[in-house]
Amino acid sequence: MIGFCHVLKEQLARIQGSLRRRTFEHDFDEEVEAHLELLTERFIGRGLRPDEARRAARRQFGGVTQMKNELRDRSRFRPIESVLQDSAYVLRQFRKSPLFAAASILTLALGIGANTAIFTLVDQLILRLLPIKDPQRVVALAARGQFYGDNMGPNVLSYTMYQAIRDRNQVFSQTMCRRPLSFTVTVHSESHVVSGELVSGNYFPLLGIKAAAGRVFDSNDDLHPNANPAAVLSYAYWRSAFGASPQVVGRTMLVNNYSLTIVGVSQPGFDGLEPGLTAQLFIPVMMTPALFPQEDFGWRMFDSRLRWVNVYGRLKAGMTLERAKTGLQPLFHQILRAETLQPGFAQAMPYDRQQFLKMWLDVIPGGQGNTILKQQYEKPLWVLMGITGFVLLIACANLASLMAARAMVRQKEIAVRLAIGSSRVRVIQQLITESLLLALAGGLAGIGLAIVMVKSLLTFLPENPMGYVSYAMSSSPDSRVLCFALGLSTLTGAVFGLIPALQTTSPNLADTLKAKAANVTGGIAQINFRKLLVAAQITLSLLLVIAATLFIRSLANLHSVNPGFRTQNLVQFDVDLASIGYDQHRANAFFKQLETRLEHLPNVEAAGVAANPVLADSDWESIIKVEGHENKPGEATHAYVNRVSPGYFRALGIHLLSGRTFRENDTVNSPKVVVVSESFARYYFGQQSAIGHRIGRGYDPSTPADMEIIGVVNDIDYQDLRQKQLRQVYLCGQQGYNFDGTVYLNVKGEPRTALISARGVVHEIEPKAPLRNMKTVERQLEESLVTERMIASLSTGFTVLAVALAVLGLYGVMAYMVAQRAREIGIRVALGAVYGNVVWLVMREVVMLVLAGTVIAIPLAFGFGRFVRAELYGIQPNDPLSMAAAAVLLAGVALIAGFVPARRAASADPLSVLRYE
Amino acid sequence: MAKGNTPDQKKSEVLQGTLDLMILKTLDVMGPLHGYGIARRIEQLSEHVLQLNEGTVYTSLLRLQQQRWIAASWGASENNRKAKFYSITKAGRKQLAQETENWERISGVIGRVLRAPSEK
Repeated sequence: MIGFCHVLKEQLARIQGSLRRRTFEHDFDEEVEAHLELLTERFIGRGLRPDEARRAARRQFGGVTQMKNELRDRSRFRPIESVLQDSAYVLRQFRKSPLFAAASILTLALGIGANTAIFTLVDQLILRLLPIKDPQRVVALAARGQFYGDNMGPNVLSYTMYQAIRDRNQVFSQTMCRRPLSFTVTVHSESHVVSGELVSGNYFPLLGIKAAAGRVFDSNDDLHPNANPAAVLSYAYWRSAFGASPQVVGRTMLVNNYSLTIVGVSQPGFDGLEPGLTAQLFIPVMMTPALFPQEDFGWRMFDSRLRWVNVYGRLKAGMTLERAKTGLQPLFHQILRAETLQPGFAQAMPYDRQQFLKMWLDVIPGGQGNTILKQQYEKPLWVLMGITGFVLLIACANLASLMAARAMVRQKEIAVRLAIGSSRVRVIQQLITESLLLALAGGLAGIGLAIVMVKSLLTFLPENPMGYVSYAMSSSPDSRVLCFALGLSTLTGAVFGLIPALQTTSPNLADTLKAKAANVTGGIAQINFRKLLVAAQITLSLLLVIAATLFIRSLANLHSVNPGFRTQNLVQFDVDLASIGYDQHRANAFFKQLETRLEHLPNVEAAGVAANPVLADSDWESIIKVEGHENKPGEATHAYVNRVSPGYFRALGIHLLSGRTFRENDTVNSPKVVVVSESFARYYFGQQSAIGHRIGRGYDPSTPADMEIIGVVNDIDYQDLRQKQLRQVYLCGQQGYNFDGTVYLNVKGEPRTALISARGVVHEIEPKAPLRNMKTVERQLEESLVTERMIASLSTGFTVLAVALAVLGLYGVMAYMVAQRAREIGIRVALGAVYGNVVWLVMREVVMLVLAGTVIAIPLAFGFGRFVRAELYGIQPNDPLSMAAAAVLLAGVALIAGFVPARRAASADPLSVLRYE
Repeated sequence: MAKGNTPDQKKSEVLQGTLDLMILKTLDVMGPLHGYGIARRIEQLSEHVLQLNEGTVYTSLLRLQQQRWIAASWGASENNRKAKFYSITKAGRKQLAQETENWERISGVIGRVLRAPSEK
């Protein structure tokens, strides 16, 4: 019996035979001829006459022709041969009409390229699993419900919660935690910022990440606070910053002014747990207090009321995500109950305690890592994916229409082939080969185009993404993206090729063919099919035009928002003093001196410092207790907090509504003072003056109300432009703990020169001070709108493309129709139809198509609205004005495209048309 | 028309696998041979008991080639004509050994079955 392997070998050999068909057949003929001659000679030797000998030889050999045929059959792989034949035929056809081929390939390249480009980002940010061991078995934990305490970021737990789960759970074989942060690394008294992660000891073992040099951390690296001054470099950082030198291992480096020993380098390809962003440095989480000696972070590492680490587990063998979720709840609630007995809960209101105990622990797939970028870009990317999908559909419709037109021209030839016995399947195969070849060529061109598109797409992104130093997104397609592009091409080719192929080869068409010569309009089915495609294209384009209109108006709305402070002539930069070892005293003195000296610069009007930058998606919220205000259960009592210097309000042009702002003599030794926003004052004090009231900061109701309101200023958009009427509290910069700050300068003239002189001033006071994010606030504002701008620009670009394709399709069909009906039109004109009549004859069709497309599109637009609602600002997805504008715009363009062939038809000389026919 | 069942072929039918085996053995023993030479050798060894259409040798040769059990190269024949010479490959020798053993076992079994006394 012949095994599978033998069959496979034979087929492979057959494919080879097929590919070298001509040589093979020639060789074989020669071989048989030689055999026959030898046999003939043998018979001659036995005394036969040459012709008798030849006959005897042929007899002994058996049927020569049969044998040749059999061998030919056995040596070839038929499908491949017909494909090769068809391909050669198609390529000859393309050479005859290069314009058609080029136009089709370009259309497809644009459609497939756009889809591939967006998919490249979708793949990297959303779909791809991290390069870790068994990523499907890794899960992340997230507490749901209302926490009592402070929270730093999404999906975080307190460190003590992590410890308890790690030590007591039954579902994970390993549990680890991590926190992404940026660090200041000082080399030769020069500081630069790198992004990294604080990680627990079992971080690397759980992920299955090995060391490329030295070692990675293990559980011995997180036994006691501040006891393991060690660092692991990422492979990429090791190469870029240390030239991949093996001597680096064992050396020390200064991180946040704290000396750490480099113990190793992680394996290549691993850049931490944020897809699209790179972690360059890994430091034991136990070093947090040493590296971040702030009262509101590092010092609170073991405070159960502060949530700040992402927790991951590796499921035990046989454990499923669902069972892990169920299995963890009792433990989670046990820990929660224990926490409510701790001192931190002593003053909690019963309502908060109830809510706290109602929390539950969610278990989510973790193999894709923590996804900061995914949260920001997932929805926009799916929207864009939908848009590019529409573009491709429109491109497909165009090609289907073109193919139908070509097939129509060839219909006679096809009918003849079918009539003389060619199988329908064989003819369809040939037509499909044509469309597939086009699609593949378009796909290849599209992949090239996608690389360029992704490159320019990446330039949309702001330079310093969320505290990270760099993106790890690449524009070069990986195997998955290539599969996507080629799969899409094949599908596309099949879609736009199959329908015309089926149509032109349909058996009853042969009957209509006979009548064709007599038929004035001709090819009814074919032209109706193409009209249908045009109507569909109009529908899709209109949906895209509506979407683009909405996105553009939404972006314009955001641009016209008044954020409550000046954005022009305002520059900013960050100074980080904690990382070079400043204490509170020196830091405050530094900022005080800096502000004064900056204000004296000739091109600076005003200077101010804030602990937290504005419009940077950075948020600092605190629970506020107001003296005399009884909190109702469930009442939102948080406010957006910032700590600012006296000059801040002047620099940003924030108006003082009543009272005063901070002064130089508000110091650590004077009574604590705060400034609040208009909304804050109105919420708590209504029409009454807020000045003189006292407030406290902290979730604990026993918090002393030790700060006096001294002024009220106008509301500003703090985190981003979408926020309105925030309750804001400004703490006094000189009365708190200010390690790092964003400096704001209201400048005269060129911002660049002001920034350069400001940098000089900073370094005169402290040469080591790391400065970063120097930019204008206008630019910061643009960066805060990156998603909106990306969607608006891309959707507009893709829409223009889509409309161009659709209009081209409309024009093509109309022009074809006019050509088909030239005779009819000629007769009409001869019988007295005037210019207007003839134009209307054609335009009537155009109007019908546009109307049909629009009528279908509008209800669809209402349906699709919910997918884009989240991306809009100040406008509803079913905004009638946008829809009307879009419809009018598209109709206008379509009518112009239709008018061209209409006019041509009307101006044609009827006599010449009739004579030609 | 259905292939391979012409009356002409039926007359001289040699079991396909058997012809393959004989050719492999021939090439193993004789070294490189062309199709004609193989046909002569089989004719001689079978003492004209096996009548085969010599063309079928080529079907066998193609099959063996496709399995890479034999290899072919061009050379000159006795009468100085261009001819294709076939030689056994390493994989072919392995196959030959395997098939020989197989053949012997099966023919042994068949022999025993045929020699078994009939039951009363």
